[in-house]
Amino acid sequence: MLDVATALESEFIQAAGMISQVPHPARPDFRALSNPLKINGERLDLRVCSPLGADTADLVPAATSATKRAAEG
Amino acid sequence: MKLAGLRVIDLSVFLPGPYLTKALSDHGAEVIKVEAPGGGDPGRRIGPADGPSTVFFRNLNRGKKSVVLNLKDQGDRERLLTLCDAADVFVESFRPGVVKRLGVDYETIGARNAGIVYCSLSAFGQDGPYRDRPAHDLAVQALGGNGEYDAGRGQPASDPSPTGR
Repeated sequence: MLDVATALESEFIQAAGMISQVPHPARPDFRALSNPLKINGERLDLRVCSPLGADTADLVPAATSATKRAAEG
Repeated sequence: MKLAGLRVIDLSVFLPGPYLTKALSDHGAEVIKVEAPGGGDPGRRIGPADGPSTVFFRNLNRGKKSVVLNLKDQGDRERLLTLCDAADVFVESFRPGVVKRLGVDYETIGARNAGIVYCSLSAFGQDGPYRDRPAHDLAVQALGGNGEYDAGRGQPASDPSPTGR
């Protein structure tokens, strides 16, 4: 069994396309292992979660300013 | 992505609900995490932090969007219902009865969007004598006798572990 650091350097895993560069809030060079499953030949995406409340303005344009302030608190 | 085009409204916190909606997000669904003001999902603060969020949180919530709404505010409740009008799936993990009190129960949302799949997760289900008890993994393992099973009869209960270790 490989640990994560070793797996990330594995030629087999690299050749299988299982290593993804993922946007990370603190590490610009962050890499992670993808899900081993492919669905219809597609590898599943790796994406990070939005920071708290980051999508409120886009998805709920009428949200109260009080709610927005509370999200920041 | 096989779930592309599906919109999921996710009010769940901690682990079980977020694990479910992570699978939906991984397969292409748009998952909108609706969080409370003042800190959001407590899972954001579980475990070691690495940057502005914890590893625990990122593992369970990758790929999701985050919206903050105060569901005790009538205006924000209406905004949630509007989001649900265009959604395919709704997931919540409050104790039974809470969604009714907040006015976001199946009867309310289903009356506006008859096609929505409404999923409620709670420790002991939506009915039965234990329905109002809050619990997570540790309590359920203790109640089921798993701690003694793993440690051996007559021994202090062990730390929680996968069943049948």
